[in-house]
Amino acid sequence: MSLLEIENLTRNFGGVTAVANMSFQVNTGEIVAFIGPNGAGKTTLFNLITGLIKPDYGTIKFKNIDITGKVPEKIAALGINRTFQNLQLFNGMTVVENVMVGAHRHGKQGLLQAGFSFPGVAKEERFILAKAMEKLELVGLTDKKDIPVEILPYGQQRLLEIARAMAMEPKMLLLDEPAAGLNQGETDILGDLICKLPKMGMTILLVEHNMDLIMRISHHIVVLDHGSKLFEGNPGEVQNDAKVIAAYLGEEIV
Amino acid sequence: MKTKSTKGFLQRNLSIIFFIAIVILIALLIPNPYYLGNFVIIGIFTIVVVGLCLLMGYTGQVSLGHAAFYGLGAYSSALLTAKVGFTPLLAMVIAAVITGIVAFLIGIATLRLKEHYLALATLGSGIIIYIFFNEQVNITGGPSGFSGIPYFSFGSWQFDTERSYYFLVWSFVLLAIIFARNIVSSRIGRALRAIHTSEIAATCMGIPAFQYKVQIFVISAIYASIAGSLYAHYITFMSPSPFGFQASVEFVLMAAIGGLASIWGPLFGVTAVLFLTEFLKTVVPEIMPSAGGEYEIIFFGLILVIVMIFMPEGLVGGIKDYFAKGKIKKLAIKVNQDLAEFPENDLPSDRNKGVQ
Repeated sequence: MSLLEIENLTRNFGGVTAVANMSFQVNTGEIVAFIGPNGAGKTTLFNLITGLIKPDYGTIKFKNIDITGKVPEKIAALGINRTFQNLQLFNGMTVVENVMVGAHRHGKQGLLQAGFSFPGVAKEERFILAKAMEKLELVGLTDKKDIPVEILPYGQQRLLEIARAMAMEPKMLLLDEPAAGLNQGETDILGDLICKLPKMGMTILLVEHNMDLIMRISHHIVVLDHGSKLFEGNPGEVQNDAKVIAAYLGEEIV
Repeated sequence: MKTKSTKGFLQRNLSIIFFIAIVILIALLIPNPYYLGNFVIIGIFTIVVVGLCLLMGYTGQVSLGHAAFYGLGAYSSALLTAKVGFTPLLAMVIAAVITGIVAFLIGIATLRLKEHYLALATLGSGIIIYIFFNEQVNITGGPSGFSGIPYFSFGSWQFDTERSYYFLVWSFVLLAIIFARNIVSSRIGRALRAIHTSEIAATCMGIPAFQYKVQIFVISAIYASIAGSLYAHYITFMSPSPFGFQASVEFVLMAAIGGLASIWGPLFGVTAVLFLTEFLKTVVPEIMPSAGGEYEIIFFGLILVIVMIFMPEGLVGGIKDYFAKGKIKKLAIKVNQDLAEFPENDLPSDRNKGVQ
């Protein structure tokens, strides 16, 4: 069953076509990777799906609901969350508070209820804290929970962003270069974590440059070049396709 | 079990208890009504600035028009009691509703703007309201104002002495601080801080950033409105001059000096600025007899620059930082030591920053 359907999606920036007439589908429970050279339109695609930018043309359907051009918080409410290539953690807050922001949608109490400290508020707060701690445990940051997020080492900040996104318990999670800047050990931990996510009910969209990681964990790969879809298939097919090799993986020197 | 929860309650509310003790102590130690009157004004301004800190410090939205909301509260209360004959308490509530509605309308029009643009838009809105106070002579009495505003009262209980008004105002300050503290420590408070640091990430977490910004803008305007009502029933005379642009700037100054992202900061910021004003009023004419009233703003500017350079988080934040620095340093060292135990773990730099 397809969870996400994208049809003829197009977005121009001035004279540059970042995403050109792109169509593909993502099935529930898959790990789908998007690869391609810098400027191929991978991050633009993520920004379009999450509503941060609006397409010029085309439709995006999630769970058969048209989400094209909706505002980010409405799209998030349907169960889509993401991480960012350039980390967007909430500085000035602790590790656990960051994850608690991710669990924001599990709460209902508004500004006035909070201000007057209605009885439901404290209960809800405990619930959100429990959710956050659960996700911190999954990424192995439980003992760092009270540390200000800005002094956390870079690799752990990446993991924390994933924990924050997971705290919303989205149906679909978009990871934008989660392994960027990680060393081999950290990348392996990350790979194992991502492999677990589909079992927890999440479908994963992944932009990544680390080929070993992609070939290891993804079920399906979409290759982009200059804003268009060049090829899609499983890891084996991608590795053996001449067009892909020429555009991205590099031509073999004989 | 019960003693444990009582102890927890005391710990959580230690600063509140301390605050109440100080308020009572000041009333006992200062028998002179004139000095107590200064503390009434400090209390009134503190309410405005606590609201402003929710907006500026936590949510990161600048308002240079808050004196207008303060004025709207004051004028609404004054007119409803002196000319319509409502009781002060009812007038205060209606004034808060009116101010809230005005703030809502200004908010939905301006809060899509960012930073300097928002500051200018709120400044403009403030000036429009100030001109309204000045020019609608048949309603507001224009620049010469009007009098005959009753003292604040609950039923037959009248607050017509400095001492009783002092307790009235500081009870409101206490409520204002508790309300703000509850918001800040809640899910909504976290969302506001998230909007402040990364609005993009906040919206992707499903936080309706614009809606929350409008809500907190309205709440902070209502804070100003309640303070304005208290002011009107204290002074019992209404004219536009305390609600102009300079007052808006002073509120921002008080908030910044106390510490923007701080619940207790406003108390220190307001006190510091008001004492400084009094100090300048007595000292400057002796040094420079020809100086006019404008010198205050020069000193305020100077102090703001100094505070921003040396204590960017204000008095409270600065002092907290001084004590916290050692703690954070130790934490950072510990984290790095943990890492050092894994030889592979050399920290990569943010090398992908800025790519695509």
